[in-house]
Amino acid sequence: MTLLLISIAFSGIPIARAAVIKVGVLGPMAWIQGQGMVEGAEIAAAEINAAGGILGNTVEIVPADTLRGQSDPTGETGYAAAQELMAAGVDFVVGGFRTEAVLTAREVFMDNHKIFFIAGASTDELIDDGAKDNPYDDVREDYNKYRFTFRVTPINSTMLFKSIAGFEKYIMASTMMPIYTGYASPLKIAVISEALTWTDTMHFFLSWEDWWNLPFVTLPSPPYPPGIVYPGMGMAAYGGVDVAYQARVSATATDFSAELSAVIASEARILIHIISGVSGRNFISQWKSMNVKAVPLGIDVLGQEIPTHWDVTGGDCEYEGFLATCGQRTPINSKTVAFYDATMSTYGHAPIYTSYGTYDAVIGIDEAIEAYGKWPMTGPDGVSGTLDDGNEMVPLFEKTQRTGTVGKFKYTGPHPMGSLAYSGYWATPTQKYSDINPAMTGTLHDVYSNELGPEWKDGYVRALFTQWQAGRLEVVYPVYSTIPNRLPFSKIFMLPRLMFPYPTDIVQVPPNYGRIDIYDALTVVGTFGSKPGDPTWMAAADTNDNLEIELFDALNVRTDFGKHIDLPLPYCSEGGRMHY
Amino acid sequence: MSLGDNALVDILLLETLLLYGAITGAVYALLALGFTLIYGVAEVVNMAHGALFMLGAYMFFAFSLAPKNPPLGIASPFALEPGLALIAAMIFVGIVGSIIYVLVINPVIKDVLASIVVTVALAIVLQQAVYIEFGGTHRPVLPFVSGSTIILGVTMTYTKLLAFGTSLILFAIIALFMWKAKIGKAMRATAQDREAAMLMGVNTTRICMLTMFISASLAALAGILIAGSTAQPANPQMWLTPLSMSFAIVILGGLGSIKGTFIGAFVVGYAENAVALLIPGGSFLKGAVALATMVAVLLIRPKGLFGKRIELEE
Repeated sequence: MTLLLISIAFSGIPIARAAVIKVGVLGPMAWIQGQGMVEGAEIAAAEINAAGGILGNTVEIVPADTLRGQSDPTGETGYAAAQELMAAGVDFVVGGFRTEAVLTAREVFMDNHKIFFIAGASTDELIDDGAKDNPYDDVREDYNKYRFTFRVTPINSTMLFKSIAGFEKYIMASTMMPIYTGYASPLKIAVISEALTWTDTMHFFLSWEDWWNLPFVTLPSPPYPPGIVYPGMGMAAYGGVDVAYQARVSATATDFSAELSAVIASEARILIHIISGVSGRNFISQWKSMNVKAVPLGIDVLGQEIPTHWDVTGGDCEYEGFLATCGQRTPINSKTVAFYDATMSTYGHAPIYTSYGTYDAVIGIDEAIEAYGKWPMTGPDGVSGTLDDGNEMVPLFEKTQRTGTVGKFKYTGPHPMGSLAYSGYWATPTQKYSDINPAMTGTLHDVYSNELGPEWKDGYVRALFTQWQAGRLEVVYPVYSTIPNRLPFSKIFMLPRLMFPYPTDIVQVPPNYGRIDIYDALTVVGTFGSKPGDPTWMAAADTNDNLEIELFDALNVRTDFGKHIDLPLPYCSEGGRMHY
Repeated sequence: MSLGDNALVDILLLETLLLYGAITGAVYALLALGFTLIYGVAEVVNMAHGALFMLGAYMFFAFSLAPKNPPLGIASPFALEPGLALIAAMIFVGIVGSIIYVLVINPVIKDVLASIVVTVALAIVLQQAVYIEFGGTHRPVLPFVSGSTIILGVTMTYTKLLAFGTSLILFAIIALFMWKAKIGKAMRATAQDREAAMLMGVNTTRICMLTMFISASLAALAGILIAGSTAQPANPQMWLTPLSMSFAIVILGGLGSIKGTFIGAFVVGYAENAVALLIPGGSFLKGAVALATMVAVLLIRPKGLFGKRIELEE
């Protein structure tokens, strides 16, 4: 009898696990990206457990560090962290930051059929690089192996790049060109990016004048609303873009004085900065202290840290704009605010994009298992703990259609229906996944994101453009739900006072650029009495910068009402050009 | 139009190069001064120099932090004025340097390789200690002055000018100290021949410890001024770049030579700014150019530009 019990115990017969569902979190735990992942997952787990768990099972979060004492996650550290998670017996994995680490970790998870929700790395190749026979296999090329990989955040690199171009072109045509060139001459811009692989393609295009100036896709039929530029449009029709200076800086650079001096010499009006590391802090403070008359609008990953970025730079980041998943307590929907508040109350700081991602992923796991109706997974063989367990869950996740913290969410596809597979790669909108891999079933598993213009009509997750204004990170783009209906949380984009010393010209409305008119007055009326954080707050209407829209702002507009500013403004003599 | 398309822009760029090359050179000289000093006197290649630079920035943050600072999630019992915080940070790091010398470096001082290995390990220990104490969150190192001015058409921040002036003054003070002061003479004697100096009644261990104190204090000062002038927040990884830069400069100028360090720093400063300003998109090569310059000089002159010991520099 004893021998029988021992033989059963060691026979390898899977035994049902304890009533705990383990979710591994893979990331650099000393960095904000990794910390954010854990925080988002922990909050989701706490909510689920407080509501009775998933089918009565408790959710447990298991972090694994991909730094492991190194200065950067690598293929080796990613692999080791993934092995650690497997040894811990995780059921799902969320997270993953730095492509090198994610690629090796992904192999471990795929070999073990563990469903892996990427929440951190944007590199296209992790899901699909849009081409056959690339160096890395992906979900599309080897669906059978990689079908356990999904991405929940961010949108992929291609869409990030298109999003930044979409915003820059919009802001050029709607604000910068009427003020600084009058559409009569090229607008000068500068591009400074860190010399890392993820910026290579972006820098190449952003510093290529023809790419800015010539149309590169077939556009929707005109007419377009005045001042509105769609991402694919060429800027030549608006006077053109002159890339007056471009530099690639080391990712560890600390001193940007020479580069910023060159930006000043170039007389650029937009400074596109692409930085992911700590040097973003030095960069923006030096930009401020050197009085550079070019507004920084690009990507600054650490700039998303609320309120740390503002505090550490001492407010030097005011007017800095960059792509982000969300602003400061931006009410995209009720879930956004609830999650934001939960993170603030638990950790004392705001969530970053990885937090939103892991939170949504864990909540998504809860919803999928509830729909699956049983736990643990058993798979077709009816036995828990074997490799085929994940097979039944994959189709459930592929059918995801939910509202997450930062918008509606589903995965790219669907296949094999053949509708537009929208995640940014396709030059021809009729191309189908099945054209490339006929054997593929299911969806492509990347974040579905279909909008990058000034409107946000469909509500699917997308890159937002944010700007630091009066101590808050505000969303300034997209602007409209549908033109001309302004999104309630979208704030007016602001130029630094140094570049545009006319605070009473609050709203730039075509064709009345440079006029203090009824639009400016109405903006003050509509925001009257508000303070930063209030739903109606608009920093642009705070003409005296006292963090409240009050009587003096109204009086300032009243005093200037009817005046106009001589446009375009010449470089270095922007002031003193307003008169009746 | 792009940069370089007209003469006015070209002149402005050359002026920028002239001024920023000098500023960068002076700042680098300050950074490398302590590194070359401890080698010149004690023949210690202190690979923890960058970590002491980092520690200086953190200690300045800790000493100057307001007692109540909820946004940064940390409070300080000191809340010193910036000037006092700077002195306190320099003394603290100097003491740390001295303790390191006595406990760790001195026992292996006769083995150059061992002292290198030991100081590399110390750098990592200091990095981890700082991480444990302050966490991974970046800590601001506030500048002493704010704002900027325009010199020859080039925008120059006051923090840069402060770092520039401080560096030049410090070099003059250290040089005078080494040549005129009694302790300075003892340092030179120790550098020249440790055993002979001992026979002459010099307590060489104490002299080396004092040199380490000065070297570490200078590293801390460099950390505070450089971080302040570049608005670089204190973070546990900030020691690597200054270490590699110090190394490149002192090898270029000649290990242990104060004069060589000064000139080497300016060579590197001008080379870096030339790359950033004159090669389109070439800024990321700045660090590589510094190291390439070092290699080129070593190929031609293995001892560096001024490969002499401190005692010979009169």
